[in-house]
Amino acid sequence: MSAALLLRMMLRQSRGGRGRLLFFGACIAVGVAALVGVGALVDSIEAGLHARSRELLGGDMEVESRRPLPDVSAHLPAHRRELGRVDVTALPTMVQNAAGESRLAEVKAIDVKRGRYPLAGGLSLRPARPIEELLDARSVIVTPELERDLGLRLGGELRIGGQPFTVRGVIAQQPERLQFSFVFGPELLLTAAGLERAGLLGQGSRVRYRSLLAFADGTSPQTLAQIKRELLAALPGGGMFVEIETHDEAQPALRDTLDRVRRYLGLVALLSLLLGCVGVAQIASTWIAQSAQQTAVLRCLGFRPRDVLAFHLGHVLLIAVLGSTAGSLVGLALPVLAARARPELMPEPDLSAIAGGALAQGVGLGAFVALLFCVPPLTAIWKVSPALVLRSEAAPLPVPRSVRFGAAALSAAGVFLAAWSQARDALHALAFAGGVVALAGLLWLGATALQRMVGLLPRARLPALLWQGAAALVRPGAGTTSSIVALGLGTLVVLAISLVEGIVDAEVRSALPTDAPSVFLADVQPDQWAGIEQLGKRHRARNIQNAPVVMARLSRIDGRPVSELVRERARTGGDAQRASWVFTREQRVTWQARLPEHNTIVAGALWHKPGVAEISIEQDYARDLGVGLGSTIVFDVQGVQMPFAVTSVRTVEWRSFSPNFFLVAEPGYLDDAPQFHIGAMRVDADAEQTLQNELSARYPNVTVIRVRSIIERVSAILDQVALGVRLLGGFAVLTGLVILIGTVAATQLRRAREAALLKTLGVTRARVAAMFAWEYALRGAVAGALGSLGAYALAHGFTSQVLELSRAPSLALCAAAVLSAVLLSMFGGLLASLRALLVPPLLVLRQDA
Amino acid sequence: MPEPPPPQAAPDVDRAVPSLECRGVTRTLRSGDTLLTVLSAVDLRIAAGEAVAIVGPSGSGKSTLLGLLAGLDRPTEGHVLIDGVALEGLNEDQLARLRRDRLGFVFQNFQLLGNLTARENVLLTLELAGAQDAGARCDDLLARVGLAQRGHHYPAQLSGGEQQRVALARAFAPRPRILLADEPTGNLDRETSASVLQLLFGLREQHGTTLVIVTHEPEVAGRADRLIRLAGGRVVQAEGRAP
Repeated sequence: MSAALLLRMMLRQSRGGRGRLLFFGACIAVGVAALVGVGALVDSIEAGLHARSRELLGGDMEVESRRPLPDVSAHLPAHRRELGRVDVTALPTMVQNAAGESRLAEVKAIDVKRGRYPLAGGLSLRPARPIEELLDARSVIVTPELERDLGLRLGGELRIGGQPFTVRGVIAQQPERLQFSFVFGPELLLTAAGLERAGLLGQGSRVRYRSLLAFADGTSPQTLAQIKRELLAALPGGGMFVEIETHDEAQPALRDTLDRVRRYLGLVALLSLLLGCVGVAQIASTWIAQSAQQTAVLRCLGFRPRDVLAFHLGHVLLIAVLGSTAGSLVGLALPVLAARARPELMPEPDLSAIAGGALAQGVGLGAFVALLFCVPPLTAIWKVSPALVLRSEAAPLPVPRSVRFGAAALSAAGVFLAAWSQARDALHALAFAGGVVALAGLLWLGATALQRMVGLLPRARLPALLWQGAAALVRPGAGTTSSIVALGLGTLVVLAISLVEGIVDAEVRSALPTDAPSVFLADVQPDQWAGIEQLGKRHRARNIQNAPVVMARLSRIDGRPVSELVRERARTGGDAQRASWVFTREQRVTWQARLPEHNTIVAGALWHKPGVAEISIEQDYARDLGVGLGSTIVFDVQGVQMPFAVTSVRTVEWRSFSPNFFLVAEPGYLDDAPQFHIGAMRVDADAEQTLQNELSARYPNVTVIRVRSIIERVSAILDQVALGVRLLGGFAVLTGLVILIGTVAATQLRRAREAALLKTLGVTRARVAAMFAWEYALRGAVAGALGSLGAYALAHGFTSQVLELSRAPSLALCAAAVLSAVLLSMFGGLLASLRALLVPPLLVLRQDA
Repeated sequence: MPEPPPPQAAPDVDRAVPSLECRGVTRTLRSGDTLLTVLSAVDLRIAAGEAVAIVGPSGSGKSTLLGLLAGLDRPTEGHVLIDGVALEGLNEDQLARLRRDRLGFVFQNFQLLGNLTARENVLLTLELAGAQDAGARCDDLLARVGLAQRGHHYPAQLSGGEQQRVALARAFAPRPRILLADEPTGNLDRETSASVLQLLFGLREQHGTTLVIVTHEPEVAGRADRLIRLAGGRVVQAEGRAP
């Protein structure tokens, strides 16, 4: 058969069965819309990151450290001088308004060395004046969030470190909108002189020092990478204690997260497409069965089975491309809608940058998967005997084994390849594909078994409507099983996500053990603790704890310099800077005669070697450092080298929320070192704010961290994530509904005939509708029950085995899911049956005659 | 009613080799737990260019025999040969090619493809055969069967007689050596039947096509060169000149 004839036959096939075309297309479109939506959303965010990376970083390059930075400019090669440089010092601290209300905020002191702030992008201020005019040693610029939280106004007072500052401006729009780094509170800007006046750079303050650099316009990422290498080599210590990021590699955590979102949400979206293709396969199967006579005629005329398969597949491809295109266009709308709904999170996307790739992915994947799923049912073409033209009882022919197994293998390979294209990991793709097949298989078995059980129900004892509905459910050729599997799988996905999210959310919200501290205090000076403790007791605080902390750096481990260990770790591969962080980070060392609760020694013993400075180390941290019992660790404490021997290794129950440390030293060795305290106490929720206000007023250098508000923030983020995943799961439900409607519509003629006969016999339209409704309700109930069962098992298994949570999934939610499936099924089924109900009986009966 | 086409020179055929041959053909079919013998030890030879009518009561195996002769079905025992080629050695693809190249069909219920117009139905066999002048031949045949103005109509828009004429045009379009007709007038009224038969035999004479026609109507059988009567799955009578 020539290509021209193939194309003509494909187009001619499109003339019949508009309903089939519509549902084919809809099944594919829904799944593709979900897939493209996820991809387009992620692409849009990434495009935003990429296009605005200079703006987001605040320059071409950022040099960051936890210790004061050297003069970065002096260490740049002569031919690589920066055009702009801004030094930023940032730390969390308490701020107070004139009324004494306090808030934890992130203070950023900017020191413009060369150029203007910001070095890249713009800063929109209220009033609209240059920042140099608004900021001096006695003024601040705040974010709208802080303005709102503390009821600030322009010209009003804000106290930082106990010092008064005037609010001179509000940031109307900031470039770092897409930065998702977790900061403890809203930001405010002041000058370096202002920071010094506030006196916040004391012992223990958790300061981040940054130098932002801007180079000539158009400096390529390769040149920046070269400058970075040269700078690292030139900085003291080989740049061991700094992190340098260029704008194109900034936000690594966010990019990693986006990549994970694309892969795993993409798999959820892929599920919708796979479900849709189940529907497509079902429609194809019905189509082939209904056109057996036509196929027999074509075989008579000389078409080979593979010729017939070819133009059927071509026809499927045509519809798949149309459906995928429609779905892709809907999916592309998702980033636009997201930007309108959450403008603070998402910039308005540039669809022209992402549309091409998204369309190609959507159309390609949609058409590919649809074709693969249609191949097995279309192999029924081989069964059609050409003798059917002469004899309706002609026996079906055997399908060649190569065709049968080839088709099944092709479909399985296709599911795997589609999953791989999303997950980009063969093992994950295999797990996904295997999981989907296993789940679908279990649902299929369950649906078949339940249908059989329904068929065995004693009809005589059931109400008439119920047994008629049950009879319709088990009727051969009703396509019940596949629509139950599809709707069941959709219910399973949505419900499983909801159940897991419900458990995790409940765990997060109740994470605070009854007596665990609800307030943590950082940067407490030793002479302040007594007063703070008294203040706490006046506010009915309980379980008041404190611990001294000395800031130190690792100098040597088992005689080997840390720099050597850093180089060795970097050679093992991966990100060298991240690998060396465990050695170069600031170490917080405490000392205690007895270990606090929730610490269990697993090796060695506590303080049992007289004359030896001992240290106890947390088990996982010991593994990260590569130390064990008998190891020697030398700390650099403000320039003094202090050796300690590791004499015990312990585990820590971090979920106790009590203050705990990786490193606990024996008392007597660090007592005279420069130190600060951290404190913790349990405070009733209604007393927290007043305690915070008083602490901020009397001890402005102390940072108050309220655990409940952090839990609220985390919980809110989880809610949003879960909402997004649930929305995607909703696509799966929608697909199940489309399949249900398609199945019902495919049997439109039979239903119309049934309805006509019943109406002729005197049954009212309402009663006929009720009969149909019972059938759909039973279908939905079976789908919902199976889906809920599967979701419960999946959620329980995941939360108990993987997350190690003991809470059981919500049965109420499962019941609601079953009810929803019933209602959805009834709605969709009745909608599809409307025509059958409305056609006058005589019309149908005449057609039959 | 259109005039019958003028006779054309018949294609060269090797009259020594029968066009169709059955040797000891038996066909049994399973019906539930029962095995039914639909045809039993049928021997027949049909010469090239011959017009043979297969007659018999309902259930005598006429259509089954036709299906076997066309390679649409396979005998349980025995051999079927078309132009000397044994069909049992051919797979489904080869049978399809044989049907495309040598056979034409006319059915009782027309068996037109509903999604194709009348013209496209006729064109289909020509396109499949890769005929260069497919369009012209198609239009010529439609004109010959009197449907030149109805080519753009779908089968659902044509009467029974018109549909059968389209089927005739489709059957003869690729100039098959053998034409098999299963009760071609079974669903038509008397007048329409007469005109269709006129066309069928006229085209057959024009092309010199071997014709095998299954019928239970005496007036149809009477137009054939030879009569083969089936009863109970066996050939009980053969009338007319033997090959």
